[in-house]
Amino acid sequence: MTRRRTTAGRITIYVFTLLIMFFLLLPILWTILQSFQINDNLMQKEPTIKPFSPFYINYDVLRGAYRPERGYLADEVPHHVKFIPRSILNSFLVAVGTAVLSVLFGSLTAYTLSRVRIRRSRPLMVGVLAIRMLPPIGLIVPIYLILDTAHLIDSLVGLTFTYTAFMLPYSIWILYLYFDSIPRDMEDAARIDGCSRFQTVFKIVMPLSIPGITACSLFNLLMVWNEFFLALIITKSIVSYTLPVIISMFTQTFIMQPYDLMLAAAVIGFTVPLLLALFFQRYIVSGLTMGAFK
Amino acid sequence: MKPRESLPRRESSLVIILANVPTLFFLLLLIIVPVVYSFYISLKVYKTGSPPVFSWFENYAQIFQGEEFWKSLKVSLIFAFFATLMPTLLGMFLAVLLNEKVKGGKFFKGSYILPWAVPPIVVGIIWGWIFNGGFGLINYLLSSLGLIKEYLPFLSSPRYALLAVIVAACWRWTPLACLLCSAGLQSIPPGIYDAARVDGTSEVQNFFLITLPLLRNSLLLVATTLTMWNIREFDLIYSMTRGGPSAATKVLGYSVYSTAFKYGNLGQGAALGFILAFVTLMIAALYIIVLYKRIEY
Repeated sequence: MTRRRTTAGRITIYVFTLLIMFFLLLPILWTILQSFQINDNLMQKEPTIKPFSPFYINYDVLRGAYRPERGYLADEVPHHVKFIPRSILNSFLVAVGTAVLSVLFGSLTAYTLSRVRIRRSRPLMVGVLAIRMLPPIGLIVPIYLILDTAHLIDSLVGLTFTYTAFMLPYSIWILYLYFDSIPRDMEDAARIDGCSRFQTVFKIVMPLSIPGITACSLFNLLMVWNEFFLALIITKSIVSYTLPVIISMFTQTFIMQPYDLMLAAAVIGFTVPLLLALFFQRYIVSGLTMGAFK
Repeated sequence: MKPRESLPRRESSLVIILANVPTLFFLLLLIIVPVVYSFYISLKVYKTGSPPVFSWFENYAQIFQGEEFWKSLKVSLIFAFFATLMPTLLGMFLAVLLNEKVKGGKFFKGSYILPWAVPPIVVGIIWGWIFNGGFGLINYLLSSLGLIKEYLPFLSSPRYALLAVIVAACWRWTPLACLLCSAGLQSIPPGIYDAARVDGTSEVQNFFLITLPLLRNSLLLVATTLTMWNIREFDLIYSMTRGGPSAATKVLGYSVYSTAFKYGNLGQGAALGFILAFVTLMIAALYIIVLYKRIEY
């Protein structure tokens, strides 16, 4: 665009941009900075800026070390803190499991919907869209009872299956749009050269849709890593809790509310998704806009 | 355009069916069946510890006759309204601002998405701490600016608790609104602005007469998407207020949870969940209509 701006105009734009960006980024930066404080400094009216020395003290406690400098007795650390490493592993397993299942099965369905002649595939896609909109919270009672019948309550497998069901419509939708954007002529040429349908899929379609599959997998990983409600209901014992469930336990009331540990846990909780969002922004943005607009 | 099926169909129906069995299995077992099953359970008096008894619409009658549901619905609608309106406006302004070439624009464009990626439960924890009545950042800032004399207990006062949760939701959704509006802005042909410049319009006129009308569809999509997410909000409420104080932030989602899993009334919880799913689908219908009736330009 070739509009010329007055200095006043440019300053106005800049000030407003900075204000909104300040609102969006300050809570994240403030949380990281304050996670380097011990509780005594956090619970003052005047905030302390200079990090405690050593600054990683709270992270050390979360790792399982005893740090008397923090000013507490060993048994004053809440019970659930010990399970943070385990919950990270659980979150990781469930996120990867869901991403694999939902992208694999989703691409099979998306490819069918995109390529094979099915009458009324458009109403089917609207159906997928409508299923995507259903809130897990509205269906939680029957889901709980069904999983209970199948002995999948309090199991990571049950949780992974439930996530897969709720992520599948997203995956189908995003992958369908990608497959649809790959020209059919290339597949036709390969078929004429004697490739079978499966060879065509593996040699032509899959390599071309790597960006779509990447976007879709990242989207799955991010959504599952962040999910809280289903994990809260479906997991029962502390060893099978995911990271968001363990973090949520800091909101219970303790005799000595460990705000320092809570902030360090919060930082651990958002590190993975923030890094994913920063490094794979292009994919995540394309996944989001495709999911919403087409 | 070439016809869609340019090759003779060679796959047998068996392959097609086999390829879709896993998807159908998951969707049927954990989404479609629960929709029907949820309605069925909602027709029973079903509390944990005692056998379910079929009772037609007793749960619904209880829900609609009690005050609790209507209060919860009201809180949900107020929350959904402001937690949609504010991020939509803020996101649109940010998108328009970032569309201008400013210094550092690349950094802003690369980082505004971050709050969206933070797990909602962590969003609640961070904002709950920022709004803390004893030593929160908001209280510190407000009192340094001289706007308040004593620290306000935001989360434990029925007057401010909902506001605090709405601010947290606004923080979480502004990036998504901005992202979708940016995509909408990209599709406005720049030539329109050149033509307007020749006609001598001001920047403000450009915004209201060109940008805003052409963004209308994007804004509608953003608003319906956010309404759908906000009407089911649970995580922020759970981590900031647990529905309190005195049910001031008890949204529908939280009612489902507390009825079914805190008080063990599965039948009534299922009924509330069914109502919530129904409300969401009404909004979703609106979304799908907007999506397919887009104006092309």
